Formats: sequence, structure tokens, C-alpha cells
Amino acid sequence: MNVRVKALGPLAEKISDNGDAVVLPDTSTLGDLLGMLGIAPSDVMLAFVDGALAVPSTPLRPGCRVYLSPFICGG
Amino acid sequence: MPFGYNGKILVVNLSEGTWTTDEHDETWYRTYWGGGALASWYMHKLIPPGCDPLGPENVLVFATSVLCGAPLSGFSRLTAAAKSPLSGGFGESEAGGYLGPELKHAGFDAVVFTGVSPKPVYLYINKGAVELRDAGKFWGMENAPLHDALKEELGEAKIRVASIGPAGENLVRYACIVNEFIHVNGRCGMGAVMGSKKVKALVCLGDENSVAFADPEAVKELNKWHRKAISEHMPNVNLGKNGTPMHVMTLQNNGMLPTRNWKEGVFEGAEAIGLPGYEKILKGRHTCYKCSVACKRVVNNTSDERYGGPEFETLGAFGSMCGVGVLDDVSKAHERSNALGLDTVSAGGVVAFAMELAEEGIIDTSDVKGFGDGPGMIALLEKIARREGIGDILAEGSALAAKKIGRGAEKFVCAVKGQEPGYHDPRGKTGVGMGFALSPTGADHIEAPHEVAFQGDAVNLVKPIGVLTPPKPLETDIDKVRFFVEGQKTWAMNNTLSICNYVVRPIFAMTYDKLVDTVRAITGWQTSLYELMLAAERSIVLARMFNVREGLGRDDDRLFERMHKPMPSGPLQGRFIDEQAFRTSLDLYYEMMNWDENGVPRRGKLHSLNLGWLAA
Repeated sequence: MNVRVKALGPLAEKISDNGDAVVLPDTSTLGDLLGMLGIAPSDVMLAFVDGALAVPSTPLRPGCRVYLSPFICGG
Repeated sequence: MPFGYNGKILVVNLSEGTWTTDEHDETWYRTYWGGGALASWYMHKLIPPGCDPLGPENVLVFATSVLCGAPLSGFSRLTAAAKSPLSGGFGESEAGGYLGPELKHAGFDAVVFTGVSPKPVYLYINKGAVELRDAGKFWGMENAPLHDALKEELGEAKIRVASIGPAGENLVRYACIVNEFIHVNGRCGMGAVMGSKKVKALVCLGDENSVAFADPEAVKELNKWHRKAISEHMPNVNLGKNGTPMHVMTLQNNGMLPTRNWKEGVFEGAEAIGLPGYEKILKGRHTCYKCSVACKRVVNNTSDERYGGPEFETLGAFGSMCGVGVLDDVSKAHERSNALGLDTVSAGGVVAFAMELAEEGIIDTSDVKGFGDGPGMIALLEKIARREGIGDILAEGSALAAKKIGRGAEKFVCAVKGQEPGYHDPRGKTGVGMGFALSPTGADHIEAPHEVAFQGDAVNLVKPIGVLTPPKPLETDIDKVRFFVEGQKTWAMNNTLSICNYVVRPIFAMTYDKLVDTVRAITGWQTSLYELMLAAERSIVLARMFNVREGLGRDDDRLFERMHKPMPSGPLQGRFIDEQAFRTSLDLYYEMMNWDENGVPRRGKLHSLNLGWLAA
């Protein structure tokens, strides 16, 4: 299936065409996508699938939109 | 019968060695809730305007809240509040750990210290029984030995202790209060106020079942839900796994890791002090009362591992800010600060300031060498805590020290309202600059969530508080101000309710809906997010009004000069915050808050928040 992936900041460098489609096997999860992109879950602060907050086990569906935000806060 | 709180506040008159118990009705608790708001009420009522923060007329408040001590992750914050010896205005600092819940379980929602004890004392609250005990033999002790000695003297292994070290006794204006070695009311010099009152420690022993909840089964279910959410929610999972040290490299990679007294935003030693280096010293994890996040670190390169490992702000303070890329030196500086009772954020800022003065030839380099001198940094901390030599001047904080030093030293002060900021360069996230400028306590990096997190779809996290447009990190525009107004309230809400920012939205696991459910289950009050946000705004206005009466105003809401100069290198090279545009954004903030052009909350705003008693 195709999913669209957009990432912010340093994570964007891990994606060749930020915002474009990525091809994945059907039944893939967000964790599978991160693995394919070579992104460690610990480098991602927030992930959204179609605008909803997601976790690595969140299933992806054909055509969905994935948004990745890096850890960038502090405190 | 109240649910969630005791309905009792202990007021200790140190001058007389006596105490009374204040009892307020439900409406009072539902107005002031806890934390800084509750403390503000006492500060307004009991502290005479214009008093010396280190004199007998100041008041020191330890406050919990109607929620503190409930058995959920992060519902454990303890507020210490007083007139700040750094700013001369509102002082407030939060700590996690165990003391807050223990105080609550010992029978009181807050402790208010007034006057000055004629001799060193500590307050012992044992399941409702109150005792002021002699601390003469403990005066001069560092925090860990004191903790051990108190356990021995009282014969109780389960006591919880919040104490000051030599820095607080010596009235270092950024002395902190340490509970259980690693949890610290760090900011605003609350340890100095405690020292001025000759109070060495607050010791509590409570009964966990002493506070009733309106719906105990619902509290249990919400805790179960929260723990599961924490175990899956990526920000919490990563925070538990890596702790706050992970922020070193994220700030470094974005060019906003304050380096060498804010001169730069990229540090060549970042990997050594950040996660890559930290993984080599990591020995274990530690946590706060009932919290499953466990963001605290235990490390193998300190003398007494009970002091824990440095967190991000400390890594920035003693690492990049001082140009020290040796993690052993940074860990040692952290350990000594917790032992001596120094706020690491201010201490690092002050040492970096001194290092720059040394490099500029303004102070004698036999006292302090320039950037990168790790052993010199540690030695300087000892001198500051004991007010020896140059340490006596630096103990005043960078702003006051610069006035004493003269010779152009003021040019190198990086502080707002007398307080050194946490380590996030606002040139890469201007909302943090708004927090530095507008925080009632002086520069504060946790005044509002950092806007960089809410880009793209992540804006969905702040939609429940009315922010619908992602605030652009580098802009000082209307969207940014709107975000800051609501963001400030959401974190003020946490401070008012004694909840850790790391367990609740907008970023962390507990949703706003679940938070409201939790408040209902604990208190039985049919509340709403709207009411909680109003309580948060009330706390902001209470603090602002305290500053107004102390003479702080619009001119004090500003950034330090370096933020208006171009970043010399790194990803943010050339970036600076335009001074006029920034001023305009602060003025717009006043308007959005219904404050007047001088930054004073308008009469109508005071009345709308049930603060008519503050209206002139």
C-alpha cells in the first residue's frame, strides 16, 4: 500500500521525498514504517495517522497520511 | 467532608515558635485549588508590600493542591512560594518527588512559615502532630547527611524531607530546596528564604489513606487507564527510556543549545554531555510518587548516587553554557549543587557569566578561568555556596553581581527580572522568549509549552484549548501570542493542580477529558476544562498583581540583549529576535489577557476571576 509521510526537522532528512508516498506491505503498522525509514521510535516525539495521535502499533491503511514530529522540547 | 484535600493549612509563626491551623470553605478551595494560586493568596494577605525578601516579613509557603497525593502518575508536585530574593517579586517553584504527597497525607494541604526563628529549627509533621525541633546540630550540613541524620534522630525510616544546604543557610539568592536528594524546588531562591527564616528542613510522615476521594473506584480505573496510556504514548515511552538528557542533541541539532553564556547555539561537546555520552554513565532510573513515567536518572559517576544524574537543564547549565564537555565534571557539579542546595539553572548561568567576565578581563582569572574549565566551575560552586571570595558576589545572582562588579559587567548578564533562564535559545522558538519575558518569576523556560512541538498535525493536541493554527517557531505574530496565552494557562493549570507537565496534555498521555474526569473523581466537583483554565488564569493574574504591587511592570517584561543579536553560527545563523516586533507581541499579550497598556490586569478582569479583593 501507499502512505504519505511528512516529517518535521531532523526526521525529514530520513525521508527522500518528504510529503510524498511511501510503499509498504499491506497490514503494516506505524512501527513498521519507522523501521523501513530507519527512524528509531525514540527519535519521534509525536506521530499522527490521518491527524489522530498514533503509537508504533497503530495500523496503517492505504492512502493514509502519516505525520512525524521529532523530540524538540525540554524542561 | 472534603474530598481530595484536608481542609487544613498549617500556619507557623517562627518568631514565636507557635502555630495555628487555617480552615477554609469549599468555595475557597475551588477558587484557589493549590500550588501557586493558593500560595499567592497567602502572599498577598500576609506579606507587606516592599518588604525585604530575606527579612522577617516575607512568608514562605509550601503548597500542595486538592489533587496532590492522589495515586496517579505525576499528581505529586510541591510548590514553594515567597517573595523572590532574585527578582523582588513573585517567587514560585515546583518540585516532584514525595514530599508533596507526604505533607498531604500528614494532614495539611499547605504550610505557611511566617517570621524568623531565633535559632535553627526544623518542622516535623507526624500524622497531624506538629513539632518545631531544634536544628542547631544540623546547621551547616549538606542535604544527604542531613537526611540520614534526621532519620536517625526521629527513628523513622519513612519520613520525607525537604531541606536546604549551606547555600540556603548562607542566603545565596538562588539557593534551592531539595526533597529526597533529587527533587528540587530550584527556581527563585526559595532555599534562601527558608535559610533566612532559620528553617533547615520540613519533615513529614503521613498515612496514605488519610485523604478521601469522592469516587475511589473511578480514581482506580483512571489510574489504570493512565498507566496504560503512559506505557504506549510515544513521548512518555521515550522520556522514560532516555530521560531529559535526550534534549541535548535535539536542541543542538536545531542550533538552540545555549552555549558559552548564550553567545552560541551549537556546542562542540554536545555528544559528550548528551545521550551518546550519558548512556555510558547511566545506571538506572528513578521516579516520583506513584509515577510510571520514571524520567529521573541514576548514574555511576557521582560520589553519592542518591543525588541522581543531571537532567537536561543541568547538562545545559554546567555543560554547554560553561563550555564544559566533560560529563564527569558536569555530573560532579550537579551532585555538589544538590548537596549544597544550589539551583543548577541559575548556578550554571552565574558561573558562565563569571567565565565570560574572566575572558573579558573584568574579573581576576585567579578566581575563575574562562569557558571550559570544569574543575574551576566545581570549585566556584563551593565558593558561591559558602560565600567565599568572589563567590560572595556571585551568590547575589548575575544581575546584582554585575552591579557590584561594575566595569561593564552588566553587558554580559543574561537574566530577566534578575533570574537566569533555562537552557533553550528563544531565537529558535520565540514563544519560549515570551515565557522568559512574561513569567512573573523572572526568566522561566516552562511558562508555556514550546511551540515547536505543535507544527503540522500536532496542532491537534492544542485544539482542545482553542489553538487551531500551528504557531510558527520563528515568528512573533498574532498566532504566536494566541498560542502563548492559552499555552501559559495550560501549564499554569498543572502548577495550580500540582500535576507534572510530563503526564498530561498537550504533549503527554493524559487527555484533557480524562484530566477533568480525574478531578471529578477525586473532588466530587462537577467541573470542566473551562473551570480549570479559569483557575489557571487566576493564578497568573494573582502572581502578576503581586508583581504590580512590588513595582514590577512593563519595562521588566523583556529579553536580555543577546537575544536581539544575530546567532553567529549553526542552523540558526543570522537569526535574532527583532526587539520592536517582540515588544509589540508582548503588548498584544496584555490586550488578549485584558490587561492595560502597562501590563496591569484591568478591574473587570479581576472581578471576572473572583479577585475583586485585588481591585484598587
